[in-house]
Formats: sequence, C-alpha cells, structure tokens
Amino acid sequence: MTISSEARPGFTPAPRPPDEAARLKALHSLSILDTPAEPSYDDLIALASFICGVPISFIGLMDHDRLWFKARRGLAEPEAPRDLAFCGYTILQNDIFIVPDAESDPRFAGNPLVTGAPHIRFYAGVPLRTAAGHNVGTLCVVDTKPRQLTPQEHDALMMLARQAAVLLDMQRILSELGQIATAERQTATRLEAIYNAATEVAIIALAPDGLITSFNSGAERMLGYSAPSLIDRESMLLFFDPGELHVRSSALERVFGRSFHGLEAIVEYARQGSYDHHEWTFRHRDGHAFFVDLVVTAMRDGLGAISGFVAVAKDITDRKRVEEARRESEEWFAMLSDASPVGIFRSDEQGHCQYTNARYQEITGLTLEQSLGLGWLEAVHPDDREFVLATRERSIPRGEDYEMELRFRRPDGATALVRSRIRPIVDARDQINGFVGVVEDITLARQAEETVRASEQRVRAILENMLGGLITIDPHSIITSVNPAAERMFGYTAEELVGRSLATLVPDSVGDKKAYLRAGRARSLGRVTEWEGQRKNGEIFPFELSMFAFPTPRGVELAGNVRDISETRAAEQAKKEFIATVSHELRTPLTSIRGSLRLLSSGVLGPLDPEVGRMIDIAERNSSRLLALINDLLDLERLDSGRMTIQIGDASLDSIFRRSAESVAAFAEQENVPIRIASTTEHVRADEYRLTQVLVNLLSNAVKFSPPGAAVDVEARPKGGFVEVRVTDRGRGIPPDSRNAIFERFLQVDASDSKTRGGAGLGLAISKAIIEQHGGSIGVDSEEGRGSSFWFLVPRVMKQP
Amino acid sequence: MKVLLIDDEEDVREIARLSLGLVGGMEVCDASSGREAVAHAIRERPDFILLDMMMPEMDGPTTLAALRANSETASIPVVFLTAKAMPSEVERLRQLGAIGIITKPFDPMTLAGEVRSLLGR
Repeated sequence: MTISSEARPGFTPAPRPPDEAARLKALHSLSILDTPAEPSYDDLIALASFICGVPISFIGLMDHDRLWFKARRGLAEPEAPRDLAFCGYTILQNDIFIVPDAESDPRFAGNPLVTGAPHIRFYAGVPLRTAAGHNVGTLCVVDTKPRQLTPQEHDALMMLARQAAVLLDMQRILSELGQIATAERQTATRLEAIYNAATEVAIIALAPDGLITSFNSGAERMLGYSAPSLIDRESMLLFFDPGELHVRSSALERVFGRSFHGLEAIVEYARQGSYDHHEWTFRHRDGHAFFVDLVVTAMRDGLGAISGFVAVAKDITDRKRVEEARRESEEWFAMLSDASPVGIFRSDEQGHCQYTNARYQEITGLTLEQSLGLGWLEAVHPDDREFVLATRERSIPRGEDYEMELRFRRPDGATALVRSRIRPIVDARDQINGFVGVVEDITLARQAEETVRASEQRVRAILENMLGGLITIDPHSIITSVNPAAERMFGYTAEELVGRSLATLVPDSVGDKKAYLRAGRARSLGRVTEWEGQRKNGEIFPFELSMFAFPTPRGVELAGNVRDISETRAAEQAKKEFIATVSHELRTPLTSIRGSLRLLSSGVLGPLDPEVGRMIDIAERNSSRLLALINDLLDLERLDSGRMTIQIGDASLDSIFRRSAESVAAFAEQENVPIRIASTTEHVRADEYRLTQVLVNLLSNAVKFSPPGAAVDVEARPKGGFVEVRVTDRGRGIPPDSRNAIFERFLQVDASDSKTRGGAGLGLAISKAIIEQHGGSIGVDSEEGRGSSFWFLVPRVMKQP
Repeated sequence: MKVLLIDDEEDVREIARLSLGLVGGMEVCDASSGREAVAHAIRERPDFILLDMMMPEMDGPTTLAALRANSETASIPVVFLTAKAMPSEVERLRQLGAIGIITKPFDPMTLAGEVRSLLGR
C-alpha cells in the first residue's frame, strides 16, 4: 500500500535517517528478518505490555520499505508499511519517541493506522541501537486511547529496549561465528576431499628439512610406497635421480652464486616466496624410472615463518611418450620429406600453400617463400591456370583424391610438366580444412614417351611402307606381326595371321610342315634362301627369305624378310627363252652361211679364183667367231640359270688333251705356236665334253698370247685327290692385280685385246664355272714378260690295283 | 642310200642336199614341214630321216611320234638336226626313238660321214 502525503492531509511519513545505507547493512548482517518468533523477544514485549497496561506492543525492525515484527502482541499482520509506521520517527533519534494522541498530532491524524484499524491514539517507541551505533529497530507500546507514560513506565521501556538491543548484538555475533565455522568446515572438507581424491597427483608435505610429513593416496600409487612407511622416516630425496639433482643444483649455483645441497635445489624458489616448477625423473619403489612435473610451494605459519613445503607431482610419462612419439614422427616426416623424390605440399582449404618440401621447390624452381601462399599459382604456366582452378573447383565437392597434369614455368625459363595428386584433409565434422598433395616431374618421362612413340611411328611407317614383306614369329612359330607387304603377298590380313602358326603359309603339298619350318629357320638365319609359300587363294609361289633374331620382353623373336620372286622367276624364264630363241634364230642363218662357205671353199662346187678363195676364208673365219660368241652366251645363260648340267664320268685326260689339241691345231699352226702335250695316264671324274671345252679355251688363249715360235705346254700331275692340269705359255704374262679379274665376265687384261685378239672375254668365266661345278678350282701363275701358267684341279680317279 | 630331209628352212635344205647328195653321194628328197613327213616317208621309203627339231606347227619330237605311230614309217631311223642341242639332251632325244643328233651349224663336208657313222654303215 502506497499512500502519498498530499493525498491525505494530517499525515507525514518520516524522512530516512542520514545513516540509512549503513543502517540497512547492519540490519541485514543480523540475519534476523523473517526468522521465526523467539521467546526471549516475546518475553520482552510481554513485560512491556504488562508494565504499561497497553493492548499492543512489539519489537519491529525497520527494513528498506517495511517494518517487520520480530515479536508482536495485539497485531494481526507480521509487518506494516514503513511509511505508515510511527517508528520511522523513532529511529531518527536516540531517545524515546512518544505520541500522546495521534488524532491531535498533524503528522499522524490522517494516518490510516489512526483513522482505521488498529485505531492508534497513543504511541511510545524506543530505538534499538546496535553496538556499532545504528538504529535498526524499535521496541514500542501502543494504545487505542490517548494517555501519558509514568516515569516508571518510561524507565522500564528504556531498560527493555536495551535488553532487546543486546539480544540483537548477540544475535549478530552468533550469526558471524556460525558463518565462520561453516566456512571453515567447508574448506577443510573440500581440501580433504581434494587431497584424498587426487589419486593421479602425488601431494607430499615436507618438513623444512625435507622429511616427509604427509603422503597422499596419489603419491602412494605413483611411487609404490605406503604413507606410513615414509612419514617422519624418509626424505623426499628418496625419489630423485642424484645426477639430475646435481645438474639442477649447478644451474641454480650459476643463478644465485652459491652452492646448493640435497633438496635445497628444489625448494629454493619456494623459500623465496615463489614456487619451483620443474620436470624430473622419479624412481618408483620397484626401480623403474618415470617422468613427473613437480611444483614445490612453501607452507608458512601465522608469523610468515616457513613451516614446511608441499610438493605436488604429476606423472607426465605418457605425455612425454606422446611428445617423444610426435617428435620422432616429425623427424621421420622431415627426413622422408627431404629425401622424397616427389614434391610434397600442404595447403589450407583456400589453396594457400603452407608447406612445400625441397623436391617441390626443385621441380617448380621456386624458393620456399615463393612457393607459399598463392605463390605456386603464379608459377603455373599461364595456359594451365584456368584449368588447374577449374579442376580444383570440380573436385573439391567430391571430397576425394584428384589428379591432374599441369605445367610450371620455372624462373629459369624452362617448363616442367608435373603430375599432381591431391587429397583433401577432412576433419571430424567432414569439413575440408586443407589439402596435401604430391607433385612428380614427368617432363623427362613424357619426352621419353614421345621419343619412343615417334620412334614407334617411324618404325611402323617403315614397316608399313616397305616393299618387302616382314613377318615376325615367336619361339613357337606363332605369327606376332605381319606388315602390309606381307599381307598382300600371302593374301591374308594381319588379323587373320597374327596368333596363327607360320605353317599356315607353308604349301599344303609339304608333308611335314614343322620340319619345313625348322629347315627354314636353320638355313635362313642371316642368309637369303628361296622357299615356296602358299597364298590364301591356294596359289604356290616362290619367295626369298632372310631371317634375323631379335630380343623382346616375351623372348627371342624371329623376323623374316620375305620377297615374292614369282615375277622375277617369270622374268628369268622369259629371258632364258629369249636367249634360247635368239641363239637358235642366230644359229639357223649361220648354218646356211657356214654351210655355203664351206661348200665353196672345199671346191666341190668348182675351182675358185684365189682372190675369191681368200675372201671366202675371211667370211668363214668371222662366221666361226660369231658362232663361238653365240655358244659362249648360251653357256653363260645356262650357267646362270643353273641349267648347265654336267655328266660326270671316268674320263681319260690323255684323250681330252688330244681332242683339245686337235681343236686348236689349225689356229696354232696359223699362229706358228707349237703345242706340246706331255703324255699322261691319269683319269679324272669329269664331264669329258665340258672339260674339253675348258682346255680348248685355255689352249686357244695360250696360243693367242704367245709370240710366234714359242711353244705352249700341256701337262698333268696328281695332287692329292685331284689332278692338276697346267697350260703354260711364254707370252707377255699377266699383271698381278688382274690375275683374279680375268676370271670375271667380259674382262680381258687389255680392253683392246677383244678387238686385236678376238673373244668376248667370256671364256675364262665359263671355264671357272665349269671347273667349280666339278668341285675343282682354277687359277693362274704368271710372271710379267715371261709367260703365264693356267692351271685347274679336278677330282682324280684312283687307279685300280 | 636314200635320205628324207625335213626342215622348214629352205636354205638349210639346199645346203644339206648338196652336202649329202654332192659330197656324200646319197639320194636326197626333202620336205618343209612335219605334216608332210609321214606322207613323204611312205612315198619315198628313205633309208633314214634327218629331222629338224625346231619347226613351226609340228616340231621334231611330234613329227617323230607321228612317224613312229605309222607302221609303214615306224622303223625308219631318225637323226635329229638341232640348233639347241646340249649333250644332256642327247639321251632324252634317243629315248624318243632317234638314233642320234647332229648340231647346227653342221660342216657340209663331214655331214654324210657323221650320219653314216650314226647309222653304223
């Protein structure tokens, strides 16, 4: 209820006392407001009512905006509004405050407590003053009719009020004592709980000399000793490593300039009012060492003197182990990173580089500083930057590793092609908070790949465009590749052949195809040989084969160069036929010419005029030369084509000598060169016709190159399994450098010889071929200016015993 | 001795006629193709036939086969005349039934002698 003074004339609330704030604080410190009634207070107002003979009495305590009754008689309510209370005036003074008749007092006449219940007319109140001098409440008597206090009544009220004040002071003291006790009890309980609950922490109290005075359960657990075995028996030194303590002492000596012994080193800072915090190695009762983090503080008595120390130790072995493991792990990483052949980097989620290893810097050509932040992006080739960022944008949402190839433009101007693999670092909440990646320099590898590719392309181009066929096979004769020329040659596509046996290309008429292939391999490695193959359409054709072996990862493969020689063969055949035809066509007219001339020169057709006879001689001689030339050409063609077959038999050399000599007799006589034949009984294995041809050739050469009158000798003698036949002349001889050349075709020692001496230079070439067909050999010994000795060896027939 | 000469070359026939007739003293008749050979042989009854190898239409071996196929001419000795002969061919031609080979160009002064020696007369 709020009542304003203006609203009710004849009613003025009391002003607040000057010490109101302190007064309220003093009141609240009593902790009495709203407490239950107490007999000691009730007794006091009972005495007051009895002495003064009033219906109402009370002890009120003036709170901030109410008057609360600690004890009351004749009042229904436990409190009254402060502004209505007459006591507001009472606490303003130190003496009794009396209102004899409220209706006649202008401060109270309008007060609702006067105009209404409880209809106060008389009031007498004494302030209750605490020891500290604050009027916290009142002791009052009230009546419903006007009256006065007798002096006895006045004195009694004053005494009762003093007793009430004393009660209030006692109340305060008790309250304070109670609070202190409670707080102390709580602190002790708390400390004890901490002390005992600290099973992971060792709390050890020490006497000033280091003797252990208490040892908690954490200490027991940590160090393995029981508290009773140590307390007042052992020094804290028991747990320390003497070496470590010595090191610590030395360190402190350097700081303070004096020496420290025993535990002095660990308590010095505590002694100075601070604390000692250090890591130590402690020794457990079972002997094992472990690491502790130790804090030592001093305990002091009321006068500040040191009464002991408290040492609190925490086992940090696990932490040390973790630290050690981390340190090792970091060292490992640093070593690996330094030695890594690939570049390594780490960046934040924005791509700002935070770490790069040495190889990364080497590849990109950047320094460590340049590579950090977004420096790496600067070094990316301008043409690749957009691609790199796009790849990043595309890949990040997937949260998976991604790979790309990019180019770095190094400061030295070179371009490095790298392959980078990047992995997002995902935290526990699946958020990407960075990336790690590796970069590998593939510049050289790519160049090598390109070189290999270019080389392959070159080889392929050569293989595909070469005229010759090329077929490769594995060691089991399975075809591994076929070039287009070989495809055309055999009529198969490469697809049809690769993977199939080479036997596919062997003619069906060959009985044992495997043996045929084996022979092909044996005879054709490094040599050109001729074989027959079968095309897809069944046609058999001749081809030349030359094989070579080359190593591959699958083993040694063989490659065969194949050349279709069917056309060559056809051309050769055509040439043979042409030569045969030509020679026939030449011989037929020659038959007529020579026949006519011979008939004329013989005289059977009538005598000739000498001039005519000489002319016919010239014509006959030249027709002979023409015939010899045609015969030589025919022989040569037969030798080339291998069609000259010799019919070996037992031949008498003597007979061959005589027939040969007869053949050249006319020519020799004409040249005036005698032919001297040494008689022989040797027989040889030879084609008599062909051997005669050789000897005639040698004799006619000898005659041709002999000066008139110089004889030509023919002799034979056995030489091992052969017979050596020699035709020796005394002509001009043959220069050494021509001695082999004369056995070549169309070669004569002197080019002019063909005109002056006749012959096409084919005779010795034919002779050589014939002798070689006999398994013999032919040659010449010569001395320039002295003559030549042509010889040949042919197999000898041993005489029957 | 009577000889039938078969050669498509007129000039060669002329030389051979002189050689065998004038030089060798033989009676010579001749034909210019293999086709005429059998009829001539039946009509002329020669002691032997000198047969050219290379002739158009019917060559020497074919003509020889035709002669051998006719009972009236089968036994007449045949000597081949050839411009191509190789010693190795002699045996082959003998197997065809010829008694010998004379190569062109032949010596007209010795031809009759060679033939006689082949005939063994």
